[in-house]
Amino acid sequence: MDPQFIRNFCIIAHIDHGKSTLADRLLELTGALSQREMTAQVLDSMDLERERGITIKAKSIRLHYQARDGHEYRLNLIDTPGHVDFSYEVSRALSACEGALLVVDASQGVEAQTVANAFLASRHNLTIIPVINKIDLPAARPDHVKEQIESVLAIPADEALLISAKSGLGVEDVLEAIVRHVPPPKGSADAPLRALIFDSWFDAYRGAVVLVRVMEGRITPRMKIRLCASNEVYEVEALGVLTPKPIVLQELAAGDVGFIVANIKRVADARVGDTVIEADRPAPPLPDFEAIKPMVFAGLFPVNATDYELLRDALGKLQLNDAAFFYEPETSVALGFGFRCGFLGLLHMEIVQERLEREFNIDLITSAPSVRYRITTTAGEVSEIDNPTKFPPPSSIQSIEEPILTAMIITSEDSVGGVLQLCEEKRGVQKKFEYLSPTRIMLTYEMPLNEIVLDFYDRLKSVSRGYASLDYHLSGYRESDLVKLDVLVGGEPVDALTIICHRDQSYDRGRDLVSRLRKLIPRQMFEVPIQAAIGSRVIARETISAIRKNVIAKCYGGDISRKRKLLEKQKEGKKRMKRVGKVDIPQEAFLAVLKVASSTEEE
Amino acid sequence: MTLGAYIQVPFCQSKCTYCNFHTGVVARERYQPYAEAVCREIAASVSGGAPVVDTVYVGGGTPSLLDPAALAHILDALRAAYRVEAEEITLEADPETVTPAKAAAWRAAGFDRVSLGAQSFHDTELRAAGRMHRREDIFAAVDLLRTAGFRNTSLDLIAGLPHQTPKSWEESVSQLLRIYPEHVSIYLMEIDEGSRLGREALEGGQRYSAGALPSDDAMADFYESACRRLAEAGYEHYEISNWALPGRRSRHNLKYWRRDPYLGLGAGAHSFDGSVRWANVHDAARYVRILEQGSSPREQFDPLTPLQALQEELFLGLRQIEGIDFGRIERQYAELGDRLAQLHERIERLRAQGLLQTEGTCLRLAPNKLTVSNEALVELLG
Repeated sequence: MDPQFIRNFCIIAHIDHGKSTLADRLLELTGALSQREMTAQVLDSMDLERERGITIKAKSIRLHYQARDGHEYRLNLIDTPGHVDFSYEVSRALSACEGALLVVDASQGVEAQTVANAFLASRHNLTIIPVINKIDLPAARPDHVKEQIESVLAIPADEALLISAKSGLGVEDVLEAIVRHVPPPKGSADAPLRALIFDSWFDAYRGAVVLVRVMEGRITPRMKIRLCASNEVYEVEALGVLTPKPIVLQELAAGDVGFIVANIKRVADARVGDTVIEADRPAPPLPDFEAIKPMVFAGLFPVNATDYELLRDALGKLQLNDAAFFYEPETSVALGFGFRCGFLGLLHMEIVQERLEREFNIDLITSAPSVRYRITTTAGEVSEIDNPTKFPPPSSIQSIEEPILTAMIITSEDSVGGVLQLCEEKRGVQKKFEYLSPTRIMLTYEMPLNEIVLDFYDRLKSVSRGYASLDYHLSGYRESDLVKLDVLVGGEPVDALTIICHRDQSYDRGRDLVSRLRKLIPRQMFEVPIQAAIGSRVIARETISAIRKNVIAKCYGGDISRKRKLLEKQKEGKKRMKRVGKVDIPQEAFLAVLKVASSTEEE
Repeated sequence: MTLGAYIQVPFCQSKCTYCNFHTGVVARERYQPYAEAVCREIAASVSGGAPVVDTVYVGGGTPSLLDPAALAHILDALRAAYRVEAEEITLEADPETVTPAKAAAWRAAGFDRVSLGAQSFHDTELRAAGRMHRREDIFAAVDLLRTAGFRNTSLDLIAGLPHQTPKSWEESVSQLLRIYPEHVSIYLMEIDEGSRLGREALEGGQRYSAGALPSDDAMADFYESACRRLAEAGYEHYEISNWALPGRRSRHNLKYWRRDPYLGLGAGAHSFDGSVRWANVHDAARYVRILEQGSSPREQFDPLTPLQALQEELFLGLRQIEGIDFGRIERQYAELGDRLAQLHERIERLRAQGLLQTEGTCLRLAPNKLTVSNEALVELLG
């Protein structure tokens, strides 16, 4: 097909603004799927994606559209993830497009991810088409939203499309706007092949299936291709497009988006951002993405030691499909054998945990999430450490630097007080305070990642009663006065509960953690002291007194079944706990470190 | 082997807040058909020969609500179907239901032991728990029973009723000792999903005086204080919740802990023949209908595996303060080889923790750890 009839576009939006619904509607209108075939939100194919309403993996779908100018167009819709943890994936999806639909909820207006995604799209030189969705809601204020788009994003919004993806209102115009405004792909099909890998996933029968955008040249079956980063040569076995059903084709040419299968064993071998060239016709690689880097780290341990092998296999399977996820074996004194895992963010971590528990049926205990610290020792050596238990002794530490984020928060004026207080508490440094409108404020803060991974997002939602939105990106490292806070249960240090925090917060954090644990750890046969300590100095202590009553009083009329059930229930409960020293600690206790309340909340 | 007969009467005048048992408040007109159904079940329960029944226990619910004639009828039916060579025929009664006429009729019918649900000697506590009787009813009932010729009476107390305080508890124990019954049961309050009070307490609510429940520690103190005082008064502590004057232990209830066979009759009654456990249908109305149709009310047959039997030996047998003969258990369950070896290790660990004691081949709960006995029993479950 003549590239002038091809359009490559994506949809970007803040979470819940209707991206997936619009995608579904486009599929339906172009006949890619009959209404009967539509499970709600086709693009979100993982169960978890559908349940959480978040797209995790980018996908691409080819649509055919008969435009009003009489021509048939080939529209490649490249889906993008909708959560800040996955902004890296957004960025690579954008590289495969020439245009983007910027969907904004007509009642919510511009949110933090709207801003972040719009900036990303303009940095990729994409044509941005503003689309105001949900205009049929009673609270819709399209004119107001248009103003925001112009003033905050500096995108002309005069011709913004007003639609309701849910009812289908105005969606036809979206297709027309794509055809009219998004430029056709450039690049010649006769030039040597250069294709950008922007996604890949693992298929049990075919190995890695690789999604590419062909920038120049063409790919055909049995062609010998070379992946520039690894310099490995493969033979193309099959290629095609998703409609969303996979359709095998004989060629992908410049401007096309599609998949290739080439007997590539692992997803890691076909790195996202890499360039595919023809083995016999070398060409310079396309500009590469930055390598993806995990930001949040935690230990995952099976509750039952016998599940270790199962967990290892499950992690391996997850990694096949998730190049951003990293793991290596870790041994904890408290939790036994497990794995140190790296994630893009907290949501990514939760998703992995949930998939392990749900799809692989493994009960997990997660140690306190950590970030990667840069430590300079008194001997002048610099190392990066993501596991608090691996910190060198305080006496040999010269300085500690921690990762800093630039966070953008959009909130309502009446909640800004609470948000400012929260950012203060989280050691944020205010960089900007801007009014988007008389009632909406955009804050820019520099904030340690270490504070964000704890409970920042939940707290932000709670102080703003759900209004505030957040986006952030890593902006560097900063030296901080950090200490390692250990927790001892029954006199034994529980390494999985060790956290790194700022010295000024350590007393509050220690007290809070210890009192939380006292409530979460059941009474045992003996008194159990719980202590928080910095080095050998105990800064907080509480005691769980010995259990006094756990007895079955009576057995009515010889009915022993109730008795057996009760004992068996207690036995199951004990099995789900981890024994550290002599003390049985429930899973929830290990989560206590995640939920650190502010002193004001406790009162 | 002789048999214990348990007859279930699942009716009450009102439901106590702490009750986690299948029992209901129904119209009096339903008592008589129920008693007849029980007689029918008794008659149909014998197949060939007439086994010897040496203990009878009519429990509930509140069996003392039934017409004494109906109770007599039930005992007659038992005598007709079995060789009742009873050493103990017990009736459970609520204090306020005892009258001179009833007491005399029970005696005449053949009952020789009455178990009275006293629960507390404080009206505030009784009222909050939804009990129908008051303190004075307990003294009156005991007098009436003794006058009628009963020489074996048991009194129940509950440690942990709402509003109970150390002082009120000691006072209840003192009143009980003033009566000096032949047998005493002290039940620690159980807070679980099975009762209204338990659910309320678990949800942190205030209904049923849930907010006035003593703490677990207070309940344990009540129990341990009672242990001391009953011992001083000459009672033998023979089971976690039971005490008796010499020679007055409940022979029927001991069968449950010793895994001796017993036959349960009536709605929701449980039976054990030494290898299989079963239960009758729970619903009283359904039970009556089934027997009127001439069918069997038995359901939930549960043949025990050797491992389950071994587990029972431990979690039932160890409720006896004197403990169990582990030598016998090892011989009897030799086929479970590895399991027994594991059990040995567990016992050793629990002994080191002070939860269990051994003496020769005798194994028992440590007397000072009875209130936390589940901690040991759970471990032994394996």
